[in-house]
Amino acid sequence: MMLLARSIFVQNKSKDLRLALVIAGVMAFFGLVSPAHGDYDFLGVVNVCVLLVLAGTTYKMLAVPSRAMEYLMLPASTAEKTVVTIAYLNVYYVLMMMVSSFVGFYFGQMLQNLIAIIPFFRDLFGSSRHDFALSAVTFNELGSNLLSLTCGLSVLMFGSLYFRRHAILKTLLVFCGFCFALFILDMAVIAGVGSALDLSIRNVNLPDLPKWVETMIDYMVPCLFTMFFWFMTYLRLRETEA
Amino acid sequence: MIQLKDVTFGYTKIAPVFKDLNLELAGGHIYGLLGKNGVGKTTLMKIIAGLRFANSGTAEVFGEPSYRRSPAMLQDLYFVGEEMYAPALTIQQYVDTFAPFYPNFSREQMDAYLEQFELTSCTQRISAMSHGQKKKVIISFSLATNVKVLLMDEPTNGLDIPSKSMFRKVMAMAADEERLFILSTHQVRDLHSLIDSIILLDGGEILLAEPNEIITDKLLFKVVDSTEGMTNLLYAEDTLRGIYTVSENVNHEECKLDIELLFNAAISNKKKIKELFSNY
Repeated sequence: MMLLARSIFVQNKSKDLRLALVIAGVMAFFGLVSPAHGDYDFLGVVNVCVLLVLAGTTYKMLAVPSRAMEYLMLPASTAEKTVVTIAYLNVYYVLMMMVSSFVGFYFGQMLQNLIAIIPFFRDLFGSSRHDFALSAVTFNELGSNLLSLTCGLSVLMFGSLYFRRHAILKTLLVFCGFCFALFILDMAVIAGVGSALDLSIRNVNLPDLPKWVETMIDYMVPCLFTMFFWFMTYLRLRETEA
Repeated sequence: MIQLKDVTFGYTKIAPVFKDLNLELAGGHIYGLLGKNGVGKTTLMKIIAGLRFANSGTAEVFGEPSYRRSPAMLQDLYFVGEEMYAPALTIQQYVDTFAPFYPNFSREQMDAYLEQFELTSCTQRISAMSHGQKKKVIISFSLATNVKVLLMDEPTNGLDIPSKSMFRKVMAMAADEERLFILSTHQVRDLHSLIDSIILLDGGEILLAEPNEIITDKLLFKVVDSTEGMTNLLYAEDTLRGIYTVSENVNHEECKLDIELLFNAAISNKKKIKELFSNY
């Protein structure tokens, strides 16, 4: 498994380094132009979007026959290949994004402060010195919603394996279609129940669930959802041909 | 080592590429896999490698179904495709990264093969190399893995004339009693001296799969001035040097196998060829 992780790392390190530098550069720009105590939630959103794109292109290489052959013929089990891919996406890339974003934003803020203390730049940009807004880069979106993020990544990872080409778009379309179908089904059930039993949704009083049950459901559902898609990825990879 | 039992495979259900294909291949041979374009040579190799799954029947390598792609099987099987993936790594980095996957990999052998191909001083990334150079690196690597089953799809395509002779040399260096090589090729003259057994595919079936000595025991390859009075003639080709013929070797005369003639003879006399080799 370590060999496999190493081989993926070695093959992608240049690309990953470029990505980290681009993210750091973008974040440095945001750090430079952002006010001292603004709302920085959008930075987390940028990270999440990049991670989703990475997840949606995880198995893009399988669309190229020579790369697909090389990957599938690598002496490692399908389970090992799946686990390593999951670890890369959910640990390596998440950490890489957080670190490069943090460093970039911090650098941008440093520059902003530098501008504030040098009279020439202060006159030029009209900026004023302030404390580092490091707390802004806590990436609330990434931290508190890590489970939701993992869930989203697992769906897109499976989508990239299933569709290979234009996977993100196709996965999102299928997801939207699925949600729409659920909505229609929901409406149909409500309408059916309503007409048969003369009930409307306003008349249905669901009992309040205990807090711990609600919390458990909140965590269990995304966990099960994620594991389902990881398992589907494993099954799909096992039957992938090149 | 490799066993195909009643393998049927098709990209669509209407037109199967193979139907009830049976094949048994043993170690210690260099098989030449021959057939017309689109007959399924690459597909057959992919089925053996577990990259394609048979619709019915079984394909086994080392006694286990190839579709499972178990690490144990993959450690002893290497497939050099016609188009290869060349990562943005130097040869050294490539070896450092991928050699540990193959327990019998030999760095000394790799260096020796690279030396034969005059690539030892090459420091550029594999992805930046020419097609021929990439092929030489991958061929060297595949041979140095010391896998028991090595599949090569059109290995001499893209190699220049000196490299083709180097290829034959390194293949001869790597061959031994335990290893099984399958070389799919259209360039039969490039590999004529290497191949010791022929697998001939046509129309979704195997016309023949025999060692060279059995083929020459059954078929006589001869250059004659005239074919008049020749009995059991299967194929004749008029050239400036004379008429190249393939006929039944009823008197078991000694002769030299001409793969190109054999191919043409087999394609034009499928029934007779199958009859001749059905006893083997």
